[in-house]
Amino acid sequence: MSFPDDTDPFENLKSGAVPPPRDAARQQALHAARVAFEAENKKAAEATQGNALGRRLISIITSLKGISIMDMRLPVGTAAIALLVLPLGWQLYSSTALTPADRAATQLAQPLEQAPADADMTLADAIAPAPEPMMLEESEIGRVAMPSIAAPMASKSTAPAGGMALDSAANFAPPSQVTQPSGDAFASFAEQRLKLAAEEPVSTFSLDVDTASYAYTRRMLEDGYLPERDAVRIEELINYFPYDYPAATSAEVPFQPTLSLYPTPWNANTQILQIGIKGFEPEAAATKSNLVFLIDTSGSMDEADKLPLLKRAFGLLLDQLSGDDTVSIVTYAGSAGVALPPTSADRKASIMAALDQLYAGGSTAGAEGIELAYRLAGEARIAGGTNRVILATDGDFNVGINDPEALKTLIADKRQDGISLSVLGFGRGNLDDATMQALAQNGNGNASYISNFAEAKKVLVEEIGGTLHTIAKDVKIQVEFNPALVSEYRLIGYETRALNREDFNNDAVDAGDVGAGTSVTALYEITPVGSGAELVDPLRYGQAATPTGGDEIAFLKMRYKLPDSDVSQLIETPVTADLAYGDIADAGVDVQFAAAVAAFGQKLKGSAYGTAMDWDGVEALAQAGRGVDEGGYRAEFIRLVDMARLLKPDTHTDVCDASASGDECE
Amino acid sequence: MHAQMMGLTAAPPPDTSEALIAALVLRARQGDGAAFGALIADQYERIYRAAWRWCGNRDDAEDIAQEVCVKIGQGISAFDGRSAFSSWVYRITLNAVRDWQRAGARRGRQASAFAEVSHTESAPEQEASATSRQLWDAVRQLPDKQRDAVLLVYAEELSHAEAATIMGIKEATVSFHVYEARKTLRGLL
Repeated sequence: MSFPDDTDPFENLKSGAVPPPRDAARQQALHAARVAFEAENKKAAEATQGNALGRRLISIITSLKGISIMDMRLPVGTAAIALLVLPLGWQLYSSTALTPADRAATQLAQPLEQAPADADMTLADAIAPAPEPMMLEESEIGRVAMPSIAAPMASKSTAPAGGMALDSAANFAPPSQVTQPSGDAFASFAEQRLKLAAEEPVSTFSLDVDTASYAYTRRMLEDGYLPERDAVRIEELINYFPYDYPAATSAEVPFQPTLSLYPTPWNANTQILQIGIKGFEPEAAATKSNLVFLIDTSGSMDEADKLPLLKRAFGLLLDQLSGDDTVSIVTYAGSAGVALPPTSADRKASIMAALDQLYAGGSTAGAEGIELAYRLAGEARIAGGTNRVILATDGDFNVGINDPEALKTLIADKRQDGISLSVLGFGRGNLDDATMQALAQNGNGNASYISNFAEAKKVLVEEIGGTLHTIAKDVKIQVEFNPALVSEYRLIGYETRALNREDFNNDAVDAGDVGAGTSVTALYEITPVGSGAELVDPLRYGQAATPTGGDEIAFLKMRYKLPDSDVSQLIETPVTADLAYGDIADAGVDVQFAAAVAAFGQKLKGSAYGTAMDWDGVEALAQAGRGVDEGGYRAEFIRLVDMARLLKPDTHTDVCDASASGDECE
Repeated sequence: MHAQMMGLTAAPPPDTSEALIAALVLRARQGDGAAFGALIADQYERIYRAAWRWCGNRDDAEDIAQEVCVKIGQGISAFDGRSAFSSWVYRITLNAVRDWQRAGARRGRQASAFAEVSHTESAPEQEASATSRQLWDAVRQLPDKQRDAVLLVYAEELSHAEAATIMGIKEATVSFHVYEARKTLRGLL
């Protein structure tokens, strides 16, 4: 088809009619805008005057208008080539062995100083396009120095030329530098630091049974990207795998801690204290469930690995349920609606038919859907059974969540009423991990990330008990170290689950929950007194006389509540030297595997500790700890280690290592 | 006083003269929620239409329009009035479209086949003639700057000067992009 040369084809664009927006979508957008406006006003009222860090800079920067390529009269071709070549050259220059070491160090230090200033630009860019050449330079710096800055930068760069150059640079860059500009949001957290047993002998935290971080990390690595640092939560990596701890025998005392002490694989002078529990597993027939599925059907769910995958996963779950169980489906999109009223789970045909009719389209209103789901869960409540809302989303809460606190409060209130909430995350590029975690934690549930059908099978079939039935809630762990025997200790992972010392005995403080048959593991790296591995120098003027606690290394206390109780129970046990193994190989396969996963997580994050072990060491340890491996998960982990080795070779200098302090890189 | 009435009824004002908009903007910037409600209700249609023209799909356009409304709500207190309010809104809309399409391209890697199906499904019947639809598709596939320039000038029927303010470039550059677009399209159509 062609237009005659004398008529302007573009004139036809004027006649293009636009289909009217749906009324619901309009109402919702207006509501969202008003909520955002109120929230911003409230924030502005609270904030001090001036340009506080973190406040959005939203204005048109007219003063930058003149700096774009065209106006500088630079020939476009030259500019484009320069855009391509400059970052590439910088890359090659800084990664060649010929670069003098001091030169390279300055190069690395410089972007770190520059980056915070650029962060403001990033925010401004959300509204106003910045000049292209600058953009590119910043992104390049960002990719190497600050992955967390690089992600938003890359997704927001303006010009087509800039965008193309970015893509090409990503293709040419050595794989070790590639951090995926994923668009997924993660709560950032600082790594657990080393503590002195003499100054702070007590460590308190809440259990974490989530596994979302592992599934996400696996997906990123399989696609050839390094996950963002904040996406890697080591305890979730460790807890993804089933461990064969001795199970409890009755529902009254639903778990018993299994303790072991063995040499650290990445540091010969320290030891790891491993605390493992396995939840009691009741007979499947003895449980009744009332499940309300709250399904995100917004436009973004319209992808093969989201709604269609969810439908198939749901089929798997349905096969696990019986006539005693009730299922309902609520959708949230343009408007919240009941897709399936509470229905007995043995009417599979009608449930599947309702599910098949779901279609993804429209915008998202998370909060309304949640209220509706809770109402249905209340109507179909099963006394003495599991009453749970299961939220399936790709992370879109772009309406109701404008006030996340209110939503959290709602979920926490419903939890008191006996209705819990779990979250299943789908897809990539839109995932709001922080919100998922926050909702599940407030709802006494777990957050799982369903990346593919195999993962759906793991969560909804093999570990269905743990997903649906809670056997103990608010499980807290408190470990007191004996300063006479332990000089330093460090909890590995659980950054987002730290509790204050006084929270331990306060039953009102919420903590993690353990599902039926779930195994949970926590690791401490401890430095025995006089081992020579202490990172902190002793005090010159001595210290107060340390009370001697005999030959106990530490004392473990755990608090938990039975599912229908509000009063906590206490489990206490000392950690003594007879738990210690001289060699990690004697401690059993589970122990070796957990240590390998911890080392993997630390290396992947570029942690300030434990990165001395090389990938071969991690892989050998994981191989040794493979054991029976019924689900093939450990074999899969070993493949991931291979992948990580390629993406982040041992020789690769992490910026954080160079800067000598992990803090700046969080 | 006129605006006050609007705010109370929360209905789109019948008279959308620039003076009224300017008054609403001023009050919204000072934190007047009612004024902001009236303002955004008045702007929604225009935002949605622009979003639709840029992406050609109702679901996406609604999502983008909502995103833009939220951004306006967050940013209006910092809107400095140095450019026209409508230009500012266009600029946010264009940025939102671009982000949306970036995210879409990323998602597309996982399910490009799937996306293709849904794309044809949602091809709107309003673009009755094949010629017109082909033209729209071709324009939407242009490089960002060319597409923005063409759509602002021809579909939104703005002057080159207005388009230049929105895109943050010079007037002559807008003409250049339109010219380039015409050249590119001759190959496509």
